[in-house]
Amino acid sequence: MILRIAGKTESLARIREFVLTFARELGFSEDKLGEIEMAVDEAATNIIRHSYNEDSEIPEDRRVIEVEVKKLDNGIELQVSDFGKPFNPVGVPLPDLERHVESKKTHGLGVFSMKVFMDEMEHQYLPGVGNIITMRKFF
Amino acid sequence: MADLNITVSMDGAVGIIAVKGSVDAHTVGEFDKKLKEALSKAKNIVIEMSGLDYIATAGLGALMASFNEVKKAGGNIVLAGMSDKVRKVFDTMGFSKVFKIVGSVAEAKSAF
Repeated sequence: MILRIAGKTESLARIREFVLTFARELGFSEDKLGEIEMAVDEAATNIIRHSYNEDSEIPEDRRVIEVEVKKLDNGIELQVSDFGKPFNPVGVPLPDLERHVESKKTHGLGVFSMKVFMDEMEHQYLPGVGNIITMRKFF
Repeated sequence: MADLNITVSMDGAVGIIAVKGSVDAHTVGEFDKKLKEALSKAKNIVIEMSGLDYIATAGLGALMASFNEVKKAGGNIVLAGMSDKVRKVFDTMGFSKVFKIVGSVAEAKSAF
């Protein structure tokens, strides 16, 4: 199943709902549903804030986010795609949480939540098209 | 569909913010506005979170910014009634070490 939606913050609630509905039907626990919800929300937020909002050259009709959900034998696969410049969240180092919190900064926590809440995460950039982030969560 | 409903009230000298719904990158502006409104009225704030369904890192950022302001003024922000789901986000991101988290507003008021 694929959701294609405007790359705007207004779309975030719909994106979370779309993924949660599918994951709930697969039988994920409430605990893991919360983790999946946050990972997809933060992935979409990164696209909106750091790609679409910062790159005025992307035409309006390409400012969309595609979210694809797939059932796996042992869990769920989410693919979050954009049409922006290359950005590889997998390559972003994990923050030193202790120091991060002491410094009272919150930048970088979005990617951190994606990595820590999902079991697998991959990034692919299709030249001239955009980024695909694939995340998997197991039961 | 998730949206956000926030009320700000005073209980004596303590500002009480009750949050219902979701704080994400879309609704964080409203959350931030209400935090600042409460901060302008009181130096000690309780945020009642039992109705908070979801908080994204954008929301944690707004919370941290207000916390820094409150601390400068010699006050505090105490978080009350959060669900296990929201608690997990705070624990995972390390925010449980920064904020005092209690079960109820009554408990929070006695924490100042």
